[in-house]
Amino acid sequence: MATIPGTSAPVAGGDGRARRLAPCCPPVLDRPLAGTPVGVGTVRVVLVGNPNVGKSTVFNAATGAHQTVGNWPGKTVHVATGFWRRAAGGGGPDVELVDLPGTYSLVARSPEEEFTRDLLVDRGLAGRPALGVVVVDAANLGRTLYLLAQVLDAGLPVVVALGMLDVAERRGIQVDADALAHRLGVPVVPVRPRERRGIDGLAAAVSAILAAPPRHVPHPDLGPVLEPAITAVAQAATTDPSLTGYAPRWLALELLTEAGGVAASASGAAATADRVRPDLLAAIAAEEPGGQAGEDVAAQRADQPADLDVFDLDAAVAERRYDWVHQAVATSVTRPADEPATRSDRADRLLLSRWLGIPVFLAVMWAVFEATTRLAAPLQDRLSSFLSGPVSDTVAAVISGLGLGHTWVRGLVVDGLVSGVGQLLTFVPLMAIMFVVLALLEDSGYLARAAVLADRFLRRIGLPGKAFLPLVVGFGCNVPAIAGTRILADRRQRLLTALLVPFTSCSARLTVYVLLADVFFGSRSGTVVFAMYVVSVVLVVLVGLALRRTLFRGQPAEPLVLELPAYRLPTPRVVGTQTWQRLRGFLRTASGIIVATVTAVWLASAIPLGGGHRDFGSVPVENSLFAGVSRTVAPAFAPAGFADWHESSALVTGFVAKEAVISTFAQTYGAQQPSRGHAQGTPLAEQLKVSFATSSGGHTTAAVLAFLVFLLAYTPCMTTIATQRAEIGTRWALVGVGLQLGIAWLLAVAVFQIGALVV
Amino acid sequence: MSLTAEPARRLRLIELGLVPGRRLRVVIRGATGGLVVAVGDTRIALDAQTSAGLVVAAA
Repeated sequence: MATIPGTSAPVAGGDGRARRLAPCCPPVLDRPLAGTPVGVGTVRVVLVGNPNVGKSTVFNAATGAHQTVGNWPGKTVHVATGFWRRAAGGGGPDVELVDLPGTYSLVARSPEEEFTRDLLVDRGLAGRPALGVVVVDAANLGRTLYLLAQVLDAGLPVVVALGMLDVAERRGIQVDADALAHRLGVPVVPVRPRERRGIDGLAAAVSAILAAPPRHVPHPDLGPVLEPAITAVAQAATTDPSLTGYAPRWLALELLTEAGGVAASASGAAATADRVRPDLLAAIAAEEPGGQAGEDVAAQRADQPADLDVFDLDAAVAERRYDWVHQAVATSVTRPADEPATRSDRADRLLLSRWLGIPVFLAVMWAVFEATTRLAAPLQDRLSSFLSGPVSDTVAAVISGLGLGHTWVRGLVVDGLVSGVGQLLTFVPLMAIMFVVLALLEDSGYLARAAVLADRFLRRIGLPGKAFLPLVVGFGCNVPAIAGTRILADRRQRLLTALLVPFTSCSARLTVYVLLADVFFGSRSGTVVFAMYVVSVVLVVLVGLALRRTLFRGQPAEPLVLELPAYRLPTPRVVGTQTWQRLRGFLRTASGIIVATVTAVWLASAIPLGGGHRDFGSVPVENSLFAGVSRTVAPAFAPAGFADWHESSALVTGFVAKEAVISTFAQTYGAQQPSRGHAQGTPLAEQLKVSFATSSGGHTTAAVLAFLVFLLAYTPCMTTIATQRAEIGTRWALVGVGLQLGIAWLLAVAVFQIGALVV
Repeated sequence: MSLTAEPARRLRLIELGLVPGRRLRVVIRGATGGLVVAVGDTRIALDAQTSAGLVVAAA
């Protein structure tokens, strides 16, 4: 069921034709991308470009408030779509603008890149967008034009948006947009989306092309060796009636480089490609500069499998594209004769250095952690007391006013619904702070550096460097941590990290550790609590390793090849927009579940079990449905030494929210909830001691430790599940729950059984 | 500079601008074992293993 698609086993075709190594995902989607055909009277334009070129800023400036962010129908790729009013022009069709995930190449290596590739080329001429806006970086033209070369090879009509002009100016780099346009053969529009300038010009260029689409899209000249071969195959494709749905040049390139799974692989064009390829490879090898390189290539080919040839072709095509790019840059970019080291380089020499790098990283992590705990807490407390105070009272008053003051309706609405909504809303300050922090780190460029520093340690457990951020935040609260997994570009990495975050011990769990440690371990409570955190870290590492070996087996260890964007001062508007969008997403997805579960718990404790009791809504807790459920669940914990319904009931409400554990204890024992740090000697403490001693057959310490371990490892709260559902989908969220419950139970049993022998 | 990395990685490096024959400059050497190289205006961080696959002739 659960093996991640995209295993990278190289497969040699039966006819000796080698397939591409490490395809990311099946090239021909077995499920058509339903829900994506553009509506009648609407035209689709896509925003394409490398990561960090400011695509999203262009998108926001173009679509303004008319946008939605979410998963593409049927996929878990996060995509923003919106309507571009300006580009639609007078009476023309609406323009749907899609902000595609940033990619360096149409050779896909992740689900996001596969998505971009699919939308642009894989669906043939009929299914692809009307136009692509390729966003390039003026301060980095030499690389960001590479993707443009590929898009032009695919024959898609294009308008180039020239961005990051502020960074270029700061470095003294001047780009002549007209010269570049002349050289490339497509319109080039300078834009400054952060200042909201240039977008209108872009819109005008787009609507001009939409109104009069070019018949031929200029393509890069890939040199005298490759071009004849491409032309030969492309011509074979154009004369084949079964291939009219494909862009000929792109098809020719795919056939020549043997991109596996191309639908046309049985056609005459494919035969032409096969015929032409050997000579082509020989010609390329002969071109290699210097005799030694030629020998190396020949030697490699001699003792390595045939699929190396394919990569030589891929590499050759890529290199020729870069030749074309460099020529275009040479004619249109002027740089100062004497270039001082860029500010970013100087900063990096400090921030990535052996001495300062790690300390600064730890300081930043500490700041992030503090922000999501200490900064958030007072806001949350204030919101919480506001909701459970004045708001609750008002609602209660309204209900009393309706004459329902003494019925179960009051309980349901005030203790169920209002409490549920309250719990949801108290997350808002926390999530907002988390999203602001994320946006600041991303926008400033520091996140990439931090990922480099963390990479060395995290790759040992098979995680990418960027995963450090969600894991660090997770020790404060798992909910924003799971939301934070979206900084990982690759969906599978997001999935792995999101599954691991729940094992980071959050601050809500801490409150329970403190109480129980206080009651049972007195002066050694500090050690016990610390031990829990150690267990948490170990658990993350071990589960990570285990998942890598099982569910995520096929995924190759990603080499770290990470582009470091220039440092930039984050703009408040960009940070604000991103935060607001993400917050809206969280509220939309989490609200339903949270309110529903809190209400459900209230209902369960209100429904009497076994008839003949008092009115619904005023049932003593031990006779309620809730207790019934707890009693049913309790025996499962017998091997772990705490099969008492009081304890299992705390775990049941703990499933909904860890904050409820202590209050549930108090409620089920009918005792007062002790104030922090003063648990010893209270009535509740005495009752807890008795319960644990009884259920564990005298091995109290072992049972308490087992309980604590279970609490650590099992599902953090319903909000976590809701957030996981939003980030990784329902199926995987449920897998996560299974993982948490399974591991927690096994651990608890192990701790008790072994502990009972010792203590 | 030439690349001796394995084929799949090689393509990736080329696509990022690390084209064989180009000039590159090392910005900083491994706080964590790898490299940050500058190729043109691009800065790329590489892990230890990948950077071992770069063969550089001093300019």
